[in-house]
Amino acid sequence: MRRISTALLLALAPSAALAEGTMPQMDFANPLTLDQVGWMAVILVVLYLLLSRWGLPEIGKVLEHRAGVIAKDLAAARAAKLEADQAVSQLNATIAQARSSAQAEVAKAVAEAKADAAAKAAVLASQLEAKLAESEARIDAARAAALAAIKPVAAEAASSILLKLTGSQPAEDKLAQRLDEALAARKAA
Amino acid sequence: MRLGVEMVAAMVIAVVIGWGLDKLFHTSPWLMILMVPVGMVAGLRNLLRASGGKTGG
Amino acid sequence: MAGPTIDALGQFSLTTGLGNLGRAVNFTNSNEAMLGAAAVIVAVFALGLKSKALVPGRAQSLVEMLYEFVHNMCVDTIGEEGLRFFPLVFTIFSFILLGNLLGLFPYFFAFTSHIAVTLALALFVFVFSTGVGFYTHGFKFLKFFVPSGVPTWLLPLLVPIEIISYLSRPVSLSVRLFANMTAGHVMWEVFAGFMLLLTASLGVVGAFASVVPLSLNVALAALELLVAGLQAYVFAILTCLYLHDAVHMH
Repeated sequence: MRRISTALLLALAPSAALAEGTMPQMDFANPLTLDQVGWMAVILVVLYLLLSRWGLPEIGKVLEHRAGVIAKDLAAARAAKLEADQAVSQLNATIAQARSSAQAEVAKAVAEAKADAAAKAAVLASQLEAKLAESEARIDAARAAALAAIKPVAAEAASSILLKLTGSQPAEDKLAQRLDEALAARKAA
Repeated sequence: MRLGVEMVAAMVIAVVIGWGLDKLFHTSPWLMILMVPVGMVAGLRNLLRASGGKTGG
Repeated sequence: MAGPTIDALGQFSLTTGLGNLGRAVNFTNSNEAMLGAAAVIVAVFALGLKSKALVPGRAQSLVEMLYEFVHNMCVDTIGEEGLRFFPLVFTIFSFILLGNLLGLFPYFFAFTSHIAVTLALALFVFVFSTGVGFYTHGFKFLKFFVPSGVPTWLLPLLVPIEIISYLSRPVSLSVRLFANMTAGHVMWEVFAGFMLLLTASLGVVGAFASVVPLSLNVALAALELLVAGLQAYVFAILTCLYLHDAVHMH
């Protein structure tokens, strides 16, 4: 804008000097100065009618038609996108369903296997327990038998030792009582 | 440039109105002189509008 | 000094055009240029509307661009009601734009550099927008000159100021266009005449020296192209602004 105003200042100096009388734009004595306005009115009215009745509405129609086509295409694209989205979500749901059912299956199989294993282990344990109990019983029996067997041997040994030491036969019942006491003490120890 | 025109235009109109009223009431040149400051203020008003970008009013 | 003189204003003098018929009805050379401008506008429309393609070609793009430019200007400045005035604003804008642009060509008369022409256009806009104001609001439109929110005792001072400010619109509107176009054309003529003067007075040296005003004129041509578009735009947007005031009163 500044450059324009500088240009104006430069230009207006001569034109202002000449404005007195010789500037054709200010020469209102010339009938042509005002007549051109009349003809301009005629031209403008014709131009206005042409543009407002024909030119501008036609362009408007073209633009509207284009906007309509674009809007229709956009709507179609939007519908297609919606459809695709639905398909995708359906697919996702199916995948999720398959995954969850597979997981359930796996979990079931694992649980079954666990139960099976637990049952087998229980059977095995009970078997072992039974065997253990049997063995213990056998050991007990053997120990009892051994203890029972030890008594007459010990009594005989003790009576023979006593006979050699003292020369007399110890009383049968007293010896048995002492032996029982000694065995009891050994067992307790 | 634009602003200068706004200022001068208001002055011109004010002086023309003053001159016309003077002719009407035979008070020349007093109304014209009176209208000069009024025109200046109106020119400033135009400037304010033009530079403010809005026409307000 | 004998030889050429600078006649910067001769380009603006009016003669009659169109031969004897034009002389009989005072059809001037500026009217010839106006007719040319109008013809170019109509021709551009006819070209642009030839195919009405969905994907526009060059001419169609040009017309559509102009249409949307003025359309947006109307809607943005006046509002939706502005579409009523769209054909009018478009006519004024395209007429002034083509007048300015054609006026830049040699042998074309720049009718927008005539104050009578620009003043007539501005007065039409002024009277029309004032009429729209009274048509839309009746006598309430007079309130436009009463600024709101000021003490009553100031009103006798402010109302004349507002009225003068309003009345000065057509003056500033017309003088702006007239001065811009006249100044550009005078500058051109002055520099071009200067080249002739230099050559005539200094011979070969002058012919070489006249490169300076020539390059100035080339630069000026670019500037004038800008001014031609800008001033048409300013005239149109101010027309919209005045119509906005008439429709909305604020």
